[in-house]
Amino acid sequence: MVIEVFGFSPRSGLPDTHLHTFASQLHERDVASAYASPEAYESYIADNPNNDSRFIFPIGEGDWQEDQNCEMVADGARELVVRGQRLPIPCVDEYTERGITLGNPPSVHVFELCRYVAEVARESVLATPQERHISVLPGMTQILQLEDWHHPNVVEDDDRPSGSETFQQLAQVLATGNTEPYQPSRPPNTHWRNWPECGML
Amino acid sequence: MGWSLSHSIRSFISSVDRILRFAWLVAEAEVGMQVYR
Repeated sequence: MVIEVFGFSPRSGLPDTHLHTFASQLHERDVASAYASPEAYESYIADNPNNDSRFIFPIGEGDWQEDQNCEMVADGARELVVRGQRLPIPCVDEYTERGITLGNPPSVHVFELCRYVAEVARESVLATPQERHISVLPGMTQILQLEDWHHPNVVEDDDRPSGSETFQQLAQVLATGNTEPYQPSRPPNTHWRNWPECGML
Repeated sequence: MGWSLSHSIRSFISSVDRILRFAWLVAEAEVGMQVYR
């Protein structure tokens, strides 16, 4: 199972698409020499036997981002490059038209720009089929793709994927190879508008 | 159908549970999911 999340983390510096892969066997895991020490490698593998993370960066570096504060879009920035394609930086009104309420206009946070880019160039910010497969065994084939779903609010201690209808049904899909068990009764909630505090941790 | 899973699937779900608990895996801008077998 691969879950991809496009967004912005100040620690990363650039917007990224985080590929979370969950599998009984993972493909091309990092080798021990990539870790600071053999102990660090053993510890990571022991703690993460069935999951791995990879990142891609669909938006290129540029002067669209403030020099001294990577969380802000530079004043007067005109364009950015997404997967090699130039995209004009929107004016304030264009954010509003897309349902994005700027927190401190006319300043624009990078995460707000990411939401705009996701609206106008969704396919470009998400991973390609080859990128999604990076930690998946080569012989496996995709049997289901979801553009949205009902996700548990994992901030709550008693709200976990194991208790969610979504992941219980997806587990049945995995166990049987049949997509029929995925019949969600709850509406999707993965759009960022449903998570007003996301990214605020 | 009852809620019955093989050990490997249980292990897998346990992993999803544990990681998502800390990742707060929700859409900051956009998301997608693919299932492989």
